[in-house]
Amino acid sequence: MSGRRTLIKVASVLATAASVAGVAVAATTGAPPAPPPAVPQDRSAQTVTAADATQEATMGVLRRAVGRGDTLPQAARDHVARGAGPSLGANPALARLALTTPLGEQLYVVPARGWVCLTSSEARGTCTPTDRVAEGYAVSLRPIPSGFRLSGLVPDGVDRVEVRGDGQVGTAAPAGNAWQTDVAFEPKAVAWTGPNGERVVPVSAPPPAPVGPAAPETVLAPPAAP
Amino acid sequence: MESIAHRAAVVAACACLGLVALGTASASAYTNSYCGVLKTAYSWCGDGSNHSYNYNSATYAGAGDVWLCERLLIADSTTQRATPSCAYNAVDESFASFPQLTEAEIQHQTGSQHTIYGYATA
Repeated sequence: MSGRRTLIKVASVLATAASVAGVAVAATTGAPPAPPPAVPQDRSAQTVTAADATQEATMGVLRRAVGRGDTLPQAARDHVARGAGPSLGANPALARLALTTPLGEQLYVVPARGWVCLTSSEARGTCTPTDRVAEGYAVSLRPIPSGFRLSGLVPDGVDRVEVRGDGQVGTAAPAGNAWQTDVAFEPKAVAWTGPNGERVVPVSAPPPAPVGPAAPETVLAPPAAP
Repeated sequence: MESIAHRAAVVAACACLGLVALGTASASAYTNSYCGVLKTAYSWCGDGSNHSYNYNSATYAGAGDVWLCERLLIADSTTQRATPSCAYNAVDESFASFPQLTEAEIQHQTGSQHTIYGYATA
């Protein structure tokens, strides 16, 4: 009796594993092959209709179905429509919410034609050729009053990102293949270790310059009634 | 019956045209592709004109990876509209309305010389 129970348990585990593997394979093989990367300055990229196989293989967040919570805020949609849409074929309807920062900024992973974009709810973004994500080049930086804010994309299997300065280190824990962290020192490099080893990519702050007064945030008025 | 179908088609066509018109209305009135020349590292490349820019981008599509920055300057000054945004290969930012005209600029900080492209809308 005990032996039969064990057999049933083993069979059940095997069936579940086979089912999960089957779903994973189906999700991977259902994606179109990676197209040649769009040339941004041409501004004539055809919008992608699905994340490609390389994107899905690199970033697990793109293997899950798009859900209600993935809808880009209007400001971010407008941002993609101005830039990464026509220049890189980014499709906002394929965005996946990767993480929400403690300050409420939301970061979305948006597939594009041979590129992947990290788009912020604050209407800024960075895009990286898909094959460069695994090499560590999906990194962005901007000065903030307390120092610098860095964010980026990482492939599956990376659970810690280091921002390195002169003798100082800041860390971030990626979620949904994205990460963001603030550091109070001048960053010199971003490093992480993934399935293919360590990646260390240099970064540098923009040259200092005076910054004007903050502009009042303007809410776009609805169109006038006819 | 045919008349009803015809009317339905006309209504559908008008609705489509309306949507197209709305899309056009929300598009930026002025677009500016600038730079696109070989630039030395750390040298800003500007669009050379003053506009109410609401978007600026820097891109690089050559070999390797290039660290780029983009910014808006308050027109005819060295004062930045906001701190620059930087990233490898493609970085862009949308801006809320601002009471002064601005100039769009980009630069790279990798190696010696690269051709980089700017694109701004107003």
